[in-house]
Amino acid sequence: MIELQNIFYEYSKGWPRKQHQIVLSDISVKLCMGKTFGLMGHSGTGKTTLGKIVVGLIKPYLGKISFHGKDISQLASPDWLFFRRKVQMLFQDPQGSLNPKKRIDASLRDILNITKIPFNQQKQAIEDVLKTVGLSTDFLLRYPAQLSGGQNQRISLARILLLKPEFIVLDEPTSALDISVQAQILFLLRELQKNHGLGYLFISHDPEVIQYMSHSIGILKDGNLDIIQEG
Amino acid sequence: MKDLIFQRKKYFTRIGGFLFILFLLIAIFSHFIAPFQLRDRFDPFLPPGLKHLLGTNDIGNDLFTEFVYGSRTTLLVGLLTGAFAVSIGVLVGLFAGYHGGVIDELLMGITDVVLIIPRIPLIIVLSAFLRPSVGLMILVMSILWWTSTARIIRSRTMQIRSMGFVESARCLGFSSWHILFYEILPNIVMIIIPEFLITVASAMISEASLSFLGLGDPTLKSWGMMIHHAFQRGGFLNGMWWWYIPPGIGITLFVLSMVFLSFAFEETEIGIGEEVAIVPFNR
Amino acid sequence: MSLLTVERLNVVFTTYQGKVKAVKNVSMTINYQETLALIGETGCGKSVIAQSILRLLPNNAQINGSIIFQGRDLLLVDEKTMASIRGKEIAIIFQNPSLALNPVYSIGWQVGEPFRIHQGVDRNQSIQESVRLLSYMKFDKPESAVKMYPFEFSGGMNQRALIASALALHPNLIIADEPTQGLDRTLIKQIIEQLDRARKIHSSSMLLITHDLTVARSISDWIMVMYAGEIVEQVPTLDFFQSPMHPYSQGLLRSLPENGFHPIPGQSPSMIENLSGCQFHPRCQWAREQCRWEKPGLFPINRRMVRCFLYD
Repeated sequence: MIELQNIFYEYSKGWPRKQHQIVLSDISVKLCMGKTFGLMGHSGTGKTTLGKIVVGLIKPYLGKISFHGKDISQLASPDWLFFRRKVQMLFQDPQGSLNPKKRIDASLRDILNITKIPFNQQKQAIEDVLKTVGLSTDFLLRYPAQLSGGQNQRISLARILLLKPEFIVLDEPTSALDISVQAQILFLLRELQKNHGLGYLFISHDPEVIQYMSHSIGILKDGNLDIIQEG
Repeated sequence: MKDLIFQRKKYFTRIGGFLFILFLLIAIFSHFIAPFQLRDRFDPFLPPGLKHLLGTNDIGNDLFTEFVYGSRTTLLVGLLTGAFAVSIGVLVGLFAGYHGGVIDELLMGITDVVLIIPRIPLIIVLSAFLRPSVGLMILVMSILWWTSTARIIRSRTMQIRSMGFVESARCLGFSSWHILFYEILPNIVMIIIPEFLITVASAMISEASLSFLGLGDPTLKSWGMMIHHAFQRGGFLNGMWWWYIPPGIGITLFVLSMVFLSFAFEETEIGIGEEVAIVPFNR
Repeated sequence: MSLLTVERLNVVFTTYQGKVKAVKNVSMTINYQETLALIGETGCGKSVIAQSILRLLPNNAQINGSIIFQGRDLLLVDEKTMASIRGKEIAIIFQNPSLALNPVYSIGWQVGEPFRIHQGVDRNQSIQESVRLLSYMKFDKPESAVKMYPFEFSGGMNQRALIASALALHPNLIIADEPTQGLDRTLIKQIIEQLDRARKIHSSSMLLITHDLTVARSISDWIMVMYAGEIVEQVPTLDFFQSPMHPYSQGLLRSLPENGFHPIPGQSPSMIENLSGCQFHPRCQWAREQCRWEKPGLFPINRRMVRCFLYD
């Protein structure tokens, strides 16, 4: 379980006199494993910022994030690495989240190398994960630009799944995709949740998608989070 | 129109590549190509002929042999300076661009300081105090020539750092080392190569000018040195064009080949992007 | 007599990886003052059709067939004539407003550009014209809007400015290539309505290219469904949403939010490899032996055309 307690965040911009703009104020929420929390809001309300705070990419200005009861800002090296691998984020832009100069094969093997999986087991691991996300192994020798948005999003998901995560922040994973592909990805995400007990923070501006995916729903407006449906 | 430019660039690439390989072969196989030894003496003041392709100088050295061996020094100085300077520039640019903040300000501050050092005068002063040698020249030029590379690499790195795949790599738990050298570096290779080529060309021109001023390594033959000797020992006065024109042409052609090749790399970078953007490949 | 007739259009791209057949034997007609929506997944060749009509395809493309626009074959006219047709008789609205606008020129300057290029009016007059155009598109203060720059506007405002510019010279045909891509849901409806209203004022026809079925539903008269470079169904809009006939069209409708996001299994085929028979058969639940080997033709049923053996 990930728990956010009294999170504040502000941007400071401008020079020489800095202007502070509060993006998130006093946000507390519990994100449970095996469940989806849907986060709605218009563009520019700080949805993505909150998502990045949950995975630890951005440090909040104030507040505490705990993972399995431990404050993540206090984590020592091995625990931090565990958190880093178990809490992942899937980004909005499918084309952009893979290195354009690397073949799919290399992108996937990089992950296996950091998790110290021996070379002779890597092929099997890659085949398994591709099967999970519904792609054939023909794609391995291609570059990201040669795949469609949906296929790239599946590869990004496969990269995340290789780390065996517990919680994934999904930052508008389907807003750049066609409607028919969106349905496929949403279906896949729900299957994964059922089979692996993953927890999701699903960020979207589309109420229908949020309704379909989420157990509990919150709306982010003017830096405040209103939880409108408890799961 | 676009087609025409593309055709012309392809042409440039071929000329550049041909010249570069030609000079490289001449430099590597000087022993086999040069008809005589550097110290061999013949009749002085001979104009170009069958035996002496580029004639001889005032003390009877065969100038074709000098030209061939001279390419070695010139290319060595150019390529080594290019390699060192660009390596420093890439490292500085990558770190400054990726880490930002204090590291960026510090590294860019150093870059600015190095940038305002007057290059040629500094080398002249150094050569005057220390004994002029090729090693010193390469060292000093490498320390001074990296600044423009660092600035370009920094801005490109900053641009790439904000792209999704870098953020996703950070999120997946890759180390900064991995992200810098395995994620970002492959994406800027296409900028590094032309930078390297231009640095090589500029280092070669500087080496020639310094040698011409008499600050080159006196123990080695280079193209700049040949022009220097021609100037000092009366080649210009006596109208011995075969003494000073060939090294001049050599330098010009090699610099030209560098510039043409760097055009080619610019083209491939654009070419790849265009194809990806326009062709609805496979869905 | 129709405004635009495309007949047996084939577009093949030569790439390093092989020949990409982006458009296969496409025929279509757009009548005066009608809107035809071309729908399909990204990369199925929709945009390539638009680019062939305007002759904006890259050099590695080979085009075959004919595109008759008001009695002229656009594939045969010279480049000079084509330049005068683009923007004046056929206007295009691109999908990314922030890329289609030049950041260093003011909105008024860019919206008034067609007047300067095609009618040779001077600077001040062209900006006055653009004030008029922006007021059509329901800008609050068009006089001050013309002095602003693209970065001062939101994506939706920029798209409206682009639409205003596209309609400046009363084009007979508007090609809108994913005009709502990347915009917020609430804005999409507004912009689409304004686009349709502006089209009616100018009594133009429109070729709307989109993957968003709700957009197509709200303003089009005809729908053409494309799959892997082929047209699989051509049908009046109302009939399409009531009773889609091709299995792919049915799958598309089932993946809509209101129908519960039921995905079509599998992936679209690569355009490089040659799939025998019906292009959709590997993903089709009614596929039979015939579908694997034989390519179905377009079978006419009432007012529609369907490329499926189920309706033979």
